[in-house]
Amino acid sequence: MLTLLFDGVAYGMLLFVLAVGLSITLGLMNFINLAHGSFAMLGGYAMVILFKHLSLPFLLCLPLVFIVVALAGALLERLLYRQLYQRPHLDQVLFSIGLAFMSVAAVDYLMGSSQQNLVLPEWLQGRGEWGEGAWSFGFGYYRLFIIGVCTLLTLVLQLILSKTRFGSQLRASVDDPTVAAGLGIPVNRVFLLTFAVGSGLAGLGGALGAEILSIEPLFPLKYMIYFLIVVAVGGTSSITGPLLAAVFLGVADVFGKYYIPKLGGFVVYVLMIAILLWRPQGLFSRGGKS
Amino acid sequence: MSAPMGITDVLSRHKTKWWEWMGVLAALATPIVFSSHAMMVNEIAVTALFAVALDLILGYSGIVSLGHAAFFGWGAYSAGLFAKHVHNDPLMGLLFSVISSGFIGLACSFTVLRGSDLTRLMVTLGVSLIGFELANRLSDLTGGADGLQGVLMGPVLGVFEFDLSGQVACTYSVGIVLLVMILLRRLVHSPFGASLMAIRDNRLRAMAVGLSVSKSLVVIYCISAAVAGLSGALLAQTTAFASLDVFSFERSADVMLMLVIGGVGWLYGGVLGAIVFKLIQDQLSSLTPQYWMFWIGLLLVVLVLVGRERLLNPFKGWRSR
Amino acid sequence: MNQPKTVLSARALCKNFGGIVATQSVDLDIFEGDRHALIGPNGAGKTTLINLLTGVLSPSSGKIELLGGDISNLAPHLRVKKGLVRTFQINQLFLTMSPFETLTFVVSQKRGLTTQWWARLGQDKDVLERVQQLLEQFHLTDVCHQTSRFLSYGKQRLLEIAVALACEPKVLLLDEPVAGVPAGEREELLATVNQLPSDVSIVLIEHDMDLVFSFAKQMTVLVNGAVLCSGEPRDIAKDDRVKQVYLGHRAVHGVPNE
Repeated sequence: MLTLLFDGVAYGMLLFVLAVGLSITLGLMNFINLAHGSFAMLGGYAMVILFKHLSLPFLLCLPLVFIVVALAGALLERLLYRQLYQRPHLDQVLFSIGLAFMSVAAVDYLMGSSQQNLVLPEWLQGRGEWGEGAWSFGFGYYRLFIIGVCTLLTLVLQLILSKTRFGSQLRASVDDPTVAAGLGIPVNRVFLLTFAVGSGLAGLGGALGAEILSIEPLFPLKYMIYFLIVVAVGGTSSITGPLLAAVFLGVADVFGKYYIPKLGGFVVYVLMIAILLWRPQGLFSRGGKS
Repeated sequence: MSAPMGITDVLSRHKTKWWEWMGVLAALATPIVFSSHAMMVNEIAVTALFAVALDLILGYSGIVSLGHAAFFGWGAYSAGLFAKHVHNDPLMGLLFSVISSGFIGLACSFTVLRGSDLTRLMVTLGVSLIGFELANRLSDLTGGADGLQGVLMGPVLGVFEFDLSGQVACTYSVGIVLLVMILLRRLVHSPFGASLMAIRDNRLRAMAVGLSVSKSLVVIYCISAAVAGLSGALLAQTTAFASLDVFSFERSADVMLMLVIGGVGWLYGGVLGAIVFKLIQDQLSSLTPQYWMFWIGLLLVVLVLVGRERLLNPFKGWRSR
Repeated sequence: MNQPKTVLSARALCKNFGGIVATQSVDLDIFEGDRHALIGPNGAGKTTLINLLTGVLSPSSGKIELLGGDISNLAPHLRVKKGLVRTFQINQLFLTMSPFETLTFVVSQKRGLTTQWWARLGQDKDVLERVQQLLEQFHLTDVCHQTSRFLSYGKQRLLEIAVALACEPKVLLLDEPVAGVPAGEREELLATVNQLPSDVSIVLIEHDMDLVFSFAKQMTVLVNGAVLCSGEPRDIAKDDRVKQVYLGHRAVHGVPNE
């Protein structure tokens, strides 16, 4: 059972890294970006190309993917997203769905519609054992690696937000963009960087999780609901909110699929609806934006 | 006291226009005129009604819902299952689907009242996904991924048998759709309809004139769910089949696009959008599905960037403002 | 003794936002037919008080009574139904509707017609008569079919008040009705406010002292969320604390020296 828990936590942390960009975008720019999954997908495919086809070392690929996707995000923010910040949510939803559709079709055309298979490097394959008797669990090195990287990323994010100047600029801009601009904070630049980093993280998550998640053209649509759940349940006013929500979601999904295979994926949806009905602002939010 | 100046202008806004009569006649004629394309007309009619159902909450009340396919799907499967296991009279099946969809709408409606746009989006999406999963997993009942088959409908009103050419089906659909549209038209031009628009324009003000916003929203949500369920039921009955895609996200997205094309908030936007959308889809059907998705995506992106308002209500002039 | 009936009262009304005390133990009494001005410096909590009275905000503690009934926990729209109506400092109109449509809707709503889904809006003759009456009273007849979004600010303000009156209020709360209205249209607005029926009790938030002193029978001065003093305008004008709060030690503007 602990193995399941371990797997669930790994999956959850991965979801966190994937979704944290969306949470910040929503909290910061009040923009519902349903195309967020496309950036993750881009990361996954970039990983496949760099690692599998170009045979670059695994550890090098990860930061490369981050940079590539972050650049793509920055470009799109500058050209397209920026025009839509003041628009009603419906417009944003329609726009991002449109982008998501386009990305799905484009990837299908360019890379084919079958799922991409990634063979992990040697040092990530393999399993270890820990503990004894009832408390023993097996863990894969890969998932351990995921947990490690994600934890590191979370800490770095938290540090940036709370300790650096950029972090305070970001927090000020989240609280009130008009006042922040009035104080001389380059709000546009903050938005651009944040969007880029958020997308980059999604891409990194896609790359990191390329073996667990299914990297295929329909990825943005399949996984969109999970990202949205993380953000809706976890709220947009902190890092820890989405983190806890993601881990909870990951664990629930893994347990659900194991114990009730017939209705596995379904457990997650019901839980989400129940949570949102009970606390519409999300479990950890201090107050919602509409 | 004499009537205020301009009163006839205002009343005329709500009177039936000449082109609305034309539309009714045209609609009635289509099953005959396009008899060879009966199934196509049927699909357009069904989809148009679904789009209109969404417009009721999207355009008239300002609620963004990504999961309206949930009600559509429920309508389809419930009608199919009703015909298979209970009674295969079409009108009874319709009644069952409409009422049950309305109740599900009622159950979901309080989610619409609480929380932010995102919460509403999520819950509506979640419900449609649950519907999808249920239909998928309960395959003994629903046929799972293969779809619900073997739906044999009885004759409409006991007289008109559904025939292979689809003409009876088509007339049936168009007739029902017309009837519902007439009822809905009365609804949106009534004081209740005005209260919805007031809520959409300024919710704070609506409360400040004594309107119970929650009650009004719940009512319209139920009506919207019922109409969506009705259109799903029509689809299942006229095609004798129900498949998982009735719950799909693509369907919710398609119907939103139709509203964007046709214009939200003027009741016929859904109809116009459905006609345009389906015709284009039919013409481009030689393209494989993924390319279709690309063009839809592009259309959505362009439409939003250009500005929905410029494409909304092309016939804005008739709204004597 | 003929004590006029109290139509609206607040007792020990408090509102806290986290650590900030917006409203401190406010007592307020409005009698029938009152013309009650609520004044105070910016940030004194006047609009917050209105929001508490109308139910937009719920009080941290205290009681509100309307026409003898406790409304402290009543939903905003139900308070309106009981006759407590307000206007907003910033116009809150239905911008896609014309004044005619807006008033027809509001009057229909008041008469309980919005549950009807079958009848056409504006079919009822009584409703139309009332709408015409209101349009004339507020000098909106010549613009009655223009979309509200395109009306001049002064006309929008008139519509704002017309809408409130269409709700047939027993107690009317006017939040800075002439604020931002160009000089040429203020007179029209002021005259209309002055002609409001005498059985309607009016609470007026205003900064314009001319208006306040010509209009009010009673005044309450609010400072930092608490009532500084309350009473008849003459007494308030002479009160040293008020003068200090507003204008330093100079005489309050507009009051004839006694």
